[in-house]
Amino acid sequence: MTRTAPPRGGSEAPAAPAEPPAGAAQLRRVRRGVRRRTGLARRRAQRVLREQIAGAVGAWRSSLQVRIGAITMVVAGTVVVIVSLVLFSQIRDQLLSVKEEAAIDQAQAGVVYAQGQVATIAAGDGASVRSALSRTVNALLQRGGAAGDFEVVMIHRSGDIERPAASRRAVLEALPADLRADVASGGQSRKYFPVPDASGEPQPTLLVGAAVPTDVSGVQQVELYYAFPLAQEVESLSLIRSTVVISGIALTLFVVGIGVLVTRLVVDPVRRAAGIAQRLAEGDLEERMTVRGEDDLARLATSFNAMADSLQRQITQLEGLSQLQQRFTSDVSHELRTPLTTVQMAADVLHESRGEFAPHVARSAELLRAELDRFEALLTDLLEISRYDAGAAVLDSEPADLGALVDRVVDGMRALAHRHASELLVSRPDDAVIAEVDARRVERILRNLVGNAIEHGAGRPIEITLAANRTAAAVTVRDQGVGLSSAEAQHVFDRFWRADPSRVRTVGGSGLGLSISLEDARLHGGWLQVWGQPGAGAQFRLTLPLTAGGELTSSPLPLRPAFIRRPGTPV
Amino acid sequence: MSRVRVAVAAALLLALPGCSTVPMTSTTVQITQAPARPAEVIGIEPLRPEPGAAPEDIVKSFIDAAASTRPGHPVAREHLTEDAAGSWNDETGITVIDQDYATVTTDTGAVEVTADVVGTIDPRGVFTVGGGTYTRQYTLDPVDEEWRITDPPDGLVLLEQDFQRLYEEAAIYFVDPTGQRLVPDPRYVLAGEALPTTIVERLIAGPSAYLPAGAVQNPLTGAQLRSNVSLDGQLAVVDLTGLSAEPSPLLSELSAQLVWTLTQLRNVSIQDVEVRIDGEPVAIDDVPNQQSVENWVSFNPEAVPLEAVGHYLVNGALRTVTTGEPTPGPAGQGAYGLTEATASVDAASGELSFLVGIRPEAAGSTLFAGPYAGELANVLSSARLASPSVATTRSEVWVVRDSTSVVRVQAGGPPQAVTAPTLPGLGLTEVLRLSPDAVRAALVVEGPGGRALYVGTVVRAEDGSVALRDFRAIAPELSRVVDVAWRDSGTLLVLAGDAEQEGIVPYSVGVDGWGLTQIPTAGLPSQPRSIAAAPTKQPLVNAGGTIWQLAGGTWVTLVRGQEPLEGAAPFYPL
Repeated sequence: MTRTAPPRGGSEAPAAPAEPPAGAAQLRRVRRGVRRRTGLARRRAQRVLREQIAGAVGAWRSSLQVRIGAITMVVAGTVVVIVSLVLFSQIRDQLLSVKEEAAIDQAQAGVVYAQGQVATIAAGDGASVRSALSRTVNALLQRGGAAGDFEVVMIHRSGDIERPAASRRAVLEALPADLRADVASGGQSRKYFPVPDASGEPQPTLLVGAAVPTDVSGVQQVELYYAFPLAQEVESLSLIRSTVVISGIALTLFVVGIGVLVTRLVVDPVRRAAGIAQRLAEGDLEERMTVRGEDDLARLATSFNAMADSLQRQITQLEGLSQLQQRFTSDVSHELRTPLTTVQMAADVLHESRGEFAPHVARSAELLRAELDRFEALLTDLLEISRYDAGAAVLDSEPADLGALVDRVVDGMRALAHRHASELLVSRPDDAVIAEVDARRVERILRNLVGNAIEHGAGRPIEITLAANRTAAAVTVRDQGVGLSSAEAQHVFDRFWRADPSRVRTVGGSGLGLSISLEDARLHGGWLQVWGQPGAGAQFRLTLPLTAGGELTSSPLPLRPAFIRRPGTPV
Repeated sequence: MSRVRVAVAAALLLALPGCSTVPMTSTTVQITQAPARPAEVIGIEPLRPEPGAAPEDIVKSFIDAAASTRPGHPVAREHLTEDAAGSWNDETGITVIDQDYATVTTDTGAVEVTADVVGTIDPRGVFTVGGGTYTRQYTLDPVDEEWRITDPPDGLVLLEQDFQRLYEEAAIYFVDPTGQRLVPDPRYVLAGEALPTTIVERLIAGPSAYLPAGAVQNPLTGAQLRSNVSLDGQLAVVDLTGLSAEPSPLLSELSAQLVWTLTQLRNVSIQDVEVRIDGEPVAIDDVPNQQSVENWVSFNPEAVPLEAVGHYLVNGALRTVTTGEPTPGPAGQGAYGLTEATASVDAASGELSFLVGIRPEAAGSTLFAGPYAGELANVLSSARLASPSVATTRSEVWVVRDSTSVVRVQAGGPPQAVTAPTLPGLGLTEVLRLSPDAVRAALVVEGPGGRALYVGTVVRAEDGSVALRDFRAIAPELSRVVDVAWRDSGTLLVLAGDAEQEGIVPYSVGVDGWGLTQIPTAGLPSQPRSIAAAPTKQPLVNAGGTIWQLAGGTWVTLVRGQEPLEGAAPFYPL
């Protein structure tokens, strides 16, 4: 809503009647603007408050010190508040009751004195009454007591005629009616009531009123009132109250401070221990906790150090063993290669001359050569694997077009697919999908996946899909063959694992293909995952980050295929 | 969570009232119950209104009920309606009426009271002699079948005998202008426990209107009683405040004032007085803490010099009454032919020092003055001079001149006039007698109603001028007053015609007019002509040409067992 300026001079309408409505409309606008602003401010305040509460709750959850500090503050605060209230009310009641007792004593002593003076008031003598009253008031003023400052008022009543004498006029005027009624009926009473002091401010005052017994009844009545201002008590009680409050707050803060300090004593070593454990977990096996003293923390440190020692020893041992094993594997592979090359050469010679042999001998020569080739592939794979184990695998990343790569692989595998009467269906985007990958390794992965799909596809079409998003690219290879159960899917990447050990291996596989593919995928920082359902086939998905070293958070393609054909349904 | 919230709310509720310091207001808390009042009744109490009494009886009972010592007169208030009882003020004064009063019922619920007024007492206790008639209408209303008065007059209406019974006449003393003598001021106070305190309060309040400033001094002006006058056996303790405790003549004067006032009370027996200022006894040289009249003998209001023996004149010669012998000097030999004379005693030496006499001549009278035993000189002549009277404290003699003015003569000085502007308006002054303390003067003035008795006050101004004023008729009943003499500072002896008009008889009356009583004339051969008196001395009268003195209630001759001595114009030198 915009604010419009009020029309000047009334160009459209006559001035007089148009002004008031325009002014009212403007007022409404202004009011709406103000309301909106206040609403905005309120919402902002609420938002800030919520953020602060969220922050506080977060601090509560994360920090032991904050929790202990808050609990200590609440508990100590409550206890301190209760104790201070009790203390303060006790002190106040005691102070007031002492004052009351002293006041009542003084009043009663005053009554006795006044009785003696009142006896000398001559009957029918107004001047005598006045002088007796003022005399008595002055004399009573001289007699102090333990109750502190006081004022005296005496009232002589004969019928309806009242003659008062007061040490201060304001006290006489401030006497409350119910106290006067009580005293007029002959008793003694006390009342707390505000009486204006010298500057006119009402001060709490203790009023004690007593009837002075004259030796005649009925007509002449003398009343004596004492007023004890409580200014001193107010002062001392305010002082006590502020002292109690301040010391209560200080005590609470002190206790909280102590609590936080004490928890620090415990929390710091725990934090240090957590840090050391984290560093240990990250691989720094030399990390040890310093042992100080003989308390529980020292015991914790000692146990931690023993655990770290044991872990270090075992890990070193295991690492040594593993290294030993890896070296053995590579050594063996290398050692095996030499005689293998020789045997392969000999087998090649025999294979080339197989036409000169008898058919069964020619067959034997073919078999010999095929199996030697297989043996060599196995050895290569083993070497490859051993390189992974040794951590010696090197990634050559270069920007490559994944689409072209998929096409190359599919072209290479078409012959095999044709042999198995499987169809290879490729769907990929038209645009080039550029990713920083080691093309050789990716091709090997895809070849392995497609090969497995062809092998296990049972002649049904194999779907190969490529997709990419801003951060990752994914290739899925789907076959509709025998399929895998989810238990088998967990073991499929294990070395030398076969789902069905009785199955004939038609494609030359060493049993390490998927393991190598998995290692290759991991080298890129990508994922290689499998989904399978018995009878509905399996789908392998390879996800790679588009940039080398990028982290994968999601994959462009789903692992589980969108629709699953029931087994037995024709394509 | 809700449990926590409840706990917090409960804690806050407990906290809030615990935080206040002192309560601003509270309910009225009783400390004790009303104590049982002792039902003591002092004195004889008047009767309560009888049930079924007629309005007249109620009014009579009301007047009787005024005779009560209880503050507030509760019995009298029972005669009134409730509103009237609440608003009736019994402290504005007392009207004393003669016991023969008449009540007439004029209407249903209206009673008229007619009585002779003896006098009125104002709230300060000063008696003023009345003389008129008291007439008042009382209106009564029936309240619960009883008649009750609705419009009582403020103040008390008291019968004379009740007044005499209940109220004590007490003289309170002030100091005369020379500071050497005490002057009485009679007051009437309700007898009872409160009497000493009330008396001292009257002293502090000052002299009555008849004793204006200049006539007397009051050393207690500005003082206040610190507590009431306490009686310890026969010792009264007066605790004052507002005075300086520095030794000064003022302290002596006020001590004397208090001692003489308090020891002269009739109904209370006080012998010693201890005067304290702010709790400490006053320190006066040679005077103990517990003072009695023996310490203040010099202030004695009735002090009379030793040499004050009665004198009289025989054939112009001066004689004394002790033996009838002539006085020394030419006056005793009749050298001057005096018809009236008086003498003054010198205060320092105590000797008769100043003698003044009047000799009538053809052209008028001549005043002779001079030393007592020596030659008298002519100091003043006038058409008529009469009634020489001595002022004790100053050695001066006052004389009435031409029946309209007063002149005073001092020893060795010229005659000076006394200012008395209102005196001629009263009539012709026949007799003037100064009181023993020279503060008052009694006069016999012949006015339109006959010869009446007046008392005036002597006021001495600081510039030395003397005035005689504030004349009041103190015995309006006495019509043919012949002579007057001061029995003492507060009592007058008057020779006047009695009620039955049978002759001249002596009366005694107070200086304020109260207590007019006749003195028996037993022993006198004929009517007395002139009278003389002095404090503590026997009064002397001149009856049938012989001098008689009053002794034991009868008039006897001057010298026991002898014939009456001839003489006239007796006087006492003071």
